[in-house]
Amino acid sequence: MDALYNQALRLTRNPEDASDIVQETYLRAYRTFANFKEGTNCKAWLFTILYSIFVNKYRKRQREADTVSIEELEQKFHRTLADGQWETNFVATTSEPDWQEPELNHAMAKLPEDFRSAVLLVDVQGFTYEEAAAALECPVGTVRSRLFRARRMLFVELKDYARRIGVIRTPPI
Amino acid sequence: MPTSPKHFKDEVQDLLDNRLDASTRAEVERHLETCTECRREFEAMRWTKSFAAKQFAAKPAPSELRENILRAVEAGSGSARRITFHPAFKIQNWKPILAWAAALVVLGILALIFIPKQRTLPQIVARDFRSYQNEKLTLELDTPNVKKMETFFAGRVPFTPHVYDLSVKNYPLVGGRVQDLQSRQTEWVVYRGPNNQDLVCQMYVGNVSELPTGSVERQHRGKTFYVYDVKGVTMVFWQDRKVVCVLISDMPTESVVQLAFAKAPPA
Repeated sequence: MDALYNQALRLTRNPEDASDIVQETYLRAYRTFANFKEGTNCKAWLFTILYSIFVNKYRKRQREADTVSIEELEQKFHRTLADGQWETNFVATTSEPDWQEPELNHAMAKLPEDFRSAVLLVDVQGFTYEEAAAALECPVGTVRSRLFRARRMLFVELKDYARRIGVIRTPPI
Repeated sequence: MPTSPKHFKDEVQDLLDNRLDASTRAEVERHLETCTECRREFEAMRWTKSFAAKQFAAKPAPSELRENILRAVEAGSGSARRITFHPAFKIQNWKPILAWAAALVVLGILALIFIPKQRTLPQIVARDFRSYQNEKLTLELDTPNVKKMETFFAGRVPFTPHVYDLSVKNYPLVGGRVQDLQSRQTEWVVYRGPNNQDLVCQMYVGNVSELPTGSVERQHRGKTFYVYDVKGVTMVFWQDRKVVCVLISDMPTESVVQLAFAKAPPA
């Protein structure tokens, strides 16, 4: 349940909405338990329900314009990547207490919702592409491309943040 | 395999997500060893993936959410069916409905616990007998003496007390108490059988016509005996003028019936 709640929280960014969605997910799962195919992934099934409730109820009112230009993102990403030092300093700081939760949430929240969902399902919840595709009701290839861009954006955001709080130093040049 | 002339963009991602077959994987790994750009990209993505996994891992859901869901599921099992019957009718706001349903469930449970069940007279008699056996019902006077027992009841019950002497039948008196039976003060005496069986004789002002249906009627010397069995407790009722007598025991039914036949005065 914690995983579902977490997912809902990151989708809605609002604890009350998240609680509502999780509650409705369980209710719907309970009512439609007959549809659950034995032997399939129960967690993935619950996430599929959760996501469809979220899409039906909440997305309408907070749809974000998907204005991310791929070229721009790639440029930004490679600029950030080329901006040395992160391999030595950055990696070691993954669990530093300097990382403040609101900032991290902010970084995640900056991702367009479809991208965010892909990262949350695959990287945070450990879903396969196929399971994530079923939950998001999109082709597997779409999961792959969203994930591709989502990770790049997240990387840019996080590195940006890391530099601001001094976890990594600005390169001398 | 789709190879770009220079770099492996998609394959880097597939390597990270463990989606490559062994031979492609080996090829991509070889490429990463020589290509700094791809390796940096791979490392960056690997870092991002593990960072997300760590930092955005589940934080505990609010504790009341679990309870809400349990309540809602419990309540929702009933209302779900109603919705299936009316697909056009869609409830937008579940909260008040669930709250009411949960409240009703709680009330129902409380009612089950606190509203006493309507028991029939034989059921109450049998329950009192079991209470004595479980030591929840204690005797007010312990005596093997029938006369002393009758003196004890004098003035305490609304009829002239009478205590049967069953000692000749090998059922010596143990003692007795005044026992409430549907707001009636009754004479309630205990005997102990030869094999330590408990036998109770209860007397109250009333009429056998008050007894519920379901008895086996037995005739003896022109008198009718009403035999009940509630969960292994045999009760034999008979009328003795304005008093109803009942012999109660968990001995074999026929033993109780025969004792009643022996002691009840003829009609």
